[in-house]
Amino acid sequence: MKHIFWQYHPVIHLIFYIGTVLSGMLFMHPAFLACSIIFSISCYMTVAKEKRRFLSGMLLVFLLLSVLNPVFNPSGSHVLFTYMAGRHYTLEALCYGMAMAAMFVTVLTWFASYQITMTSDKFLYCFSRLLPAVSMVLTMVLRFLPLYGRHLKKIADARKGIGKSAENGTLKERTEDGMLLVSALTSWALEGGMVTSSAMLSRGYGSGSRTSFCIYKWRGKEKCLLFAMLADIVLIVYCMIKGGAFVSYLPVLEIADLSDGYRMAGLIGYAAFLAIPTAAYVMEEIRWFILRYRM
Amino acid sequence: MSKELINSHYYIVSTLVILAATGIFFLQYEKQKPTVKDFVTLAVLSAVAVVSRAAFAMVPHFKPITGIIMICGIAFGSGAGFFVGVISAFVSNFIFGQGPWTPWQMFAYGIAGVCAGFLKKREIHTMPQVLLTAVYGFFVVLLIVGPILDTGSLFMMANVITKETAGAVYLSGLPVNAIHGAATFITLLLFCRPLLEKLNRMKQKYGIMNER
Repeated sequence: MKHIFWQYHPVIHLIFYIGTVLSGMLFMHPAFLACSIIFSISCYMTVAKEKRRFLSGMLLVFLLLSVLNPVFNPSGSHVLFTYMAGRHYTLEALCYGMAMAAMFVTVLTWFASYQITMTSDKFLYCFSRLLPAVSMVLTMVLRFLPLYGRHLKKIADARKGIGKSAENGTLKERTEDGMLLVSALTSWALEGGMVTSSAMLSRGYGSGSRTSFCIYKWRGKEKCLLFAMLADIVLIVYCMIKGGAFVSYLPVLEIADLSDGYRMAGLIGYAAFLAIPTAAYVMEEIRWFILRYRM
Repeated sequence: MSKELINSHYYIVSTLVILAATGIFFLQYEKQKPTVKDFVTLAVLSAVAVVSRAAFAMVPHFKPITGIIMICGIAFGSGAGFFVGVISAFVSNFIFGQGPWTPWQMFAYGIAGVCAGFLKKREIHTMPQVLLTAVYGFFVVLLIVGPILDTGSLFMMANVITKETAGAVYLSGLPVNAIHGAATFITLLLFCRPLLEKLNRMKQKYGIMNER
């Protein structure tokens, strides 16, 4: 089944991912980090097909970054052990490394689900009004890639057919062969581009405002969601202005607890914001479960 | 609060600056009302720069993309070089995966195009001229493009930057940048003349990329 979050308007996706990545990089408080780890991974799990390899890779990155950080950063007051003639390996640097690694991993995970959710047509849909020529260029490049890839293969096959392939040649021969391929491709592509642009002109490109191939509707659901997201963002920004984002790991651990009102409010807003795709997915599953159960 | 933000969040602040600069450049580009032929040519060149990687599948670690971006810069000037660099970096990340490195790659490749644009007025016909261009390309990658990419990964990995972290990141980036620079050198050396001839011929034949 298609993920329910995919069916929302692309502007919602764009705001969601900008918000998650930005706030994911701003908050170093452990509670916020835990929140973003849980929700980024659960969002990725509901969206992606192939999960195990990515997640184990992320775990490896996390461990590596957190263990290596104290090696590069010897400051901190609690020394765990010393090595290499008195260089300190400190608890604070380790904690800081873990926080950094958590942040890095969550941002990568958000980007991984972004890659699946925000397909290129949605991205172009969002920007085609603001930047018509640039988004046209992007559309064309994305279309040209498979075309040129195939044409490159054709040229290579033709060269192989007349015995000019450099597959088993020396490195120099292979490099020169690659250059010839790209050169041939470029001539063909440039001439083709001219034909395309003449065709576009004669069909009236630029005579009216651009429309998009995909049609997304801005329904009541999106309005509610946008309102909720804005409310969450207000909470997060309020928490940041109050200084809730400030945590010090080095040289002394200085992590405030969540008893302050603004920090708690920020955390709730943050969690609610990040939970949107997961919550949408879970609610949809429950709805289906009830429907099936009734049948 | 804002001071604290700048002091502790190098990545966000620098990336926002980069994105704003790129955005302003593109808005400016839209304002100039580019002709269809101009931007289709830029699209074609960006696509060729991305696809060219596939032609060198047999040659390990060989990435001609920077070289081709630089040739576009030499042929059509700094603006077009920046455009092609940004677009091809962005699109190639659609294939290899978007991430926090995307804005930095876009910017670094764009800057490669800008640096190449400085050579626009130069004649590049004889072998020594080509060689000089290729050497210029090598140093642009080694000293400008590579360090920009390294700075991006440094800011991504550390909020508190010590001499050790910076040193480790830049030193470990050095061999990668050298290979990248060598690939650019070879691309420019072998490819500069034929491709420039083609692009100049396009300029004459179809009247594209005329300065307005």
